[in-house]
Amino acid sequence: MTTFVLRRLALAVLTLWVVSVIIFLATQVLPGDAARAVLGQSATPDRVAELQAQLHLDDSAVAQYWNWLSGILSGDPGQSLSNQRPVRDVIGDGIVNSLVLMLLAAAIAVPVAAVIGMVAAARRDTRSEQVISTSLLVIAALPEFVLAIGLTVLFSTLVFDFFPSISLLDPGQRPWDEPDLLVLPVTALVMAVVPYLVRIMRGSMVEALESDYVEMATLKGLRRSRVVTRHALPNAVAPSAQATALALAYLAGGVVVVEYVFAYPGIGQELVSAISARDIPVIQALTLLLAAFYIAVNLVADLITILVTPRLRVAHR
Amino acid sequence: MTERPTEFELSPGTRRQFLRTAGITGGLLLTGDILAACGGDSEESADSASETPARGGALRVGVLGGSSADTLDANSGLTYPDTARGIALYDTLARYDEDLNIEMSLAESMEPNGDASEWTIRLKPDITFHNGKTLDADDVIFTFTRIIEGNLVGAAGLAAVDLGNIRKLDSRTLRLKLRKPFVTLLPVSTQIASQIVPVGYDAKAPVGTGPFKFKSFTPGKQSSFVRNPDFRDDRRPYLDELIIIDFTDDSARLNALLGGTVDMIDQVAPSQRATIQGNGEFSLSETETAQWTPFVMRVDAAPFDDVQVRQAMRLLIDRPQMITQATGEAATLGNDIFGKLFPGYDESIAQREQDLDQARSLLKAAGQEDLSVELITSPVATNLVQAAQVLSEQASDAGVTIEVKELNPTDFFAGYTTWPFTQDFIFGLDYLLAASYTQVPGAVLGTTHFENAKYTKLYDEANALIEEARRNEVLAEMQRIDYEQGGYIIPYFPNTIDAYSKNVTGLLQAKTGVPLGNYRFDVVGFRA
Repeated sequence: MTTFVLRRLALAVLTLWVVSVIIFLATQVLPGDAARAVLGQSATPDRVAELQAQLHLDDSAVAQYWNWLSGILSGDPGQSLSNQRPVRDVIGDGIVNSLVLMLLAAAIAVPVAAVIGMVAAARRDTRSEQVISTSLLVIAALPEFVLAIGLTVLFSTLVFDFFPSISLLDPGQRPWDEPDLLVLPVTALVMAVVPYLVRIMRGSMVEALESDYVEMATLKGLRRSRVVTRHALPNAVAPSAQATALALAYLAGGVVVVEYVFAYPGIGQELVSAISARDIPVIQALTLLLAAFYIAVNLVADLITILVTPRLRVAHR
Repeated sequence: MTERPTEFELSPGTRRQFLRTAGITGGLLLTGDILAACGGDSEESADSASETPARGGALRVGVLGGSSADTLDANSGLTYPDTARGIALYDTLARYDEDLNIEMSLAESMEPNGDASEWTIRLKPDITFHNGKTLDADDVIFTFTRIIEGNLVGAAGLAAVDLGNIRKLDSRTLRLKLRKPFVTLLPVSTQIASQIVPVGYDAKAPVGTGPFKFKSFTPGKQSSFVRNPDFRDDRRPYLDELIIIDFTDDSARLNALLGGTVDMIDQVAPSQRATIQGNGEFSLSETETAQWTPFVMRVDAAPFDDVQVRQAMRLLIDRPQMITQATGEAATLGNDIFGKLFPGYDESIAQREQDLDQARSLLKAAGQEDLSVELITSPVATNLVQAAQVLSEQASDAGVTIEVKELNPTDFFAGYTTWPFTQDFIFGLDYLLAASYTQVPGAVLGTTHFENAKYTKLYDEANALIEEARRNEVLAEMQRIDYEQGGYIIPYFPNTIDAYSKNVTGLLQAKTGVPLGNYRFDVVGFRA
């Protein structure tokens, strides 16, 4: 088990490194650079050259990448090219803000989806289940920004006036200081991800409910609810853990759109700005974070699967 | 003054940067229509500028644009948020009032000699910086040196200044001996690029003479300033605190106003007007301005190096239709000459109208009957992309095929001044100042690459004429050259549209095109 984890960690680090190289090469291919992005309309050739020298953009690509990599390895993600502030300061708040959104969304989406999935599985092939399935399909089909705007129109500007229409936090403010601002963005994220989770959970629940041991338990006369919770559910968890992890990792991407619509100061907004400004240190730092998040979530999913499947635990010894 | 969008940011719509999938835009536009249709009816009340604001309060302002490259440096500001922050913290020697007359600000007087080759600047007494230092001639010299030696944004405008030839006459007076006559020094000194800073200024701890003092700043997000109790006008500012918040998205900005997160927003898109008018708690302020968003034809490259082709392009446009379709009637008619509303604009030149026959025959004479060109556009200013699309449709009636290619702002600026056929956006500027930025050797915004020996000679001649009437005669000649041979198509001058909560009063209406009344927050406040 330990070797498994260590091996996976080593692979994770390797993946992160490959990601950083690919992203760096991608930014080199884009037209323009941070100096031009900063100077915009006032970019005369001599001003651009001056700023490029200042930002070391005239070094070779390899030298630039190496500079950045050695910085990261010694714990210093460098300075933003747009405003020379430390990258840590630029993205620090954003990381906390986005994490809060994602964790809240995940914490709400998983139980909600599990319950709906269980209900849907237990009532499969009935009218009520069809209603649930169809509604979820409609929600899944809607792009996130439509969901987000729909929520705003419904609960904020037009029909009701319960929540603020944008979630603008002042710099330095923490998301939990203003819980009002979190309701709509989190709801949008939850709605974006629940339909997929429900399908996954329902699928594995159905499989569990139609298995021999559940049939056996029912025949033995156990109460329906006990059969479902004590015998079917634990066996439904394993197959769904992996897919759930992937769906949750999707949150990391979905958060970009939702943050944009609600003007929520998270890493999604930060990443979009940084790409437009060709701010390479910030882009690299954020992409590494997102990649690390993906990898971590998958690792946790694998571990859960193993824990829940004793057979696998033994096999790796 | 020139403007740069931010990334984003940017601009009379540093809006619509990246992440602008057609879907997002479509969704937001649809929302705008729905919101407008469903909002209740209410008369938009008349201006609220007649009432004196109450003392106190914290005003939150949403400004379009901004990015992580935001700066508080007095002489490096480029974007709308930079401009707004600059006007709060600093002052210039002179400035434009609402009606485009120059009034003295930090200077008591700015006098040229007989041919504007020497200027004597006398400062007002007893003006203090936020750190307590009294403003004197040394600070002005320091500022000019800083701009010129650091090659900052305002350096081009001060090219005529010879740093070695500045004499301090007394603590409040200095005399500049310029390299050549330059009457345009006066408009140059109204630009935010020439805001005055104290000797020893450090942009990290910004200190100026403006109505507000620095409190905090997060680039790309927001800044907050507090009232300057020693401001030279002791009735102002009325506000205790001013918070300026960046917004790169139109819709989020509008929602911020409607939801009460901010009290004022600038640069409302014409499509959003109806929503605000339909809401009784908010007011709109729409002003005709001198800002211009031209189409740009490079005169040194085919096909526009042929003046007949340029004239044809200017003739095939249906200007009123473009104003309707591209700007939603939020613009005034343009005649391919910049400098409108400023003194010296030649109203006597006949307004160009659409003439497809003439356009076609000019194209035929030039051998370009089936002209096909690519137009590079970008959402760096209000309605630019829409105008490009309208032009493309109108041009097909004359047999000209225009393929519109939309770039995001960063890519657009990466090739700025190289595109053969594109668009641009420039604040309302005095004719000579605009000419210095665009059509004479050394022009920093020279997207048309227009350089005409006669024009340059007239430009130098005009710069030596301190009598307005004589100067205007020369300007009229220059404008005639623009009208006949220039590389710009200026179909309209867009209006500025701002919106604010009815609690707020005092907002000016500035014809320069600088939003929110030239961002003059010293005269704005809450109702008593």
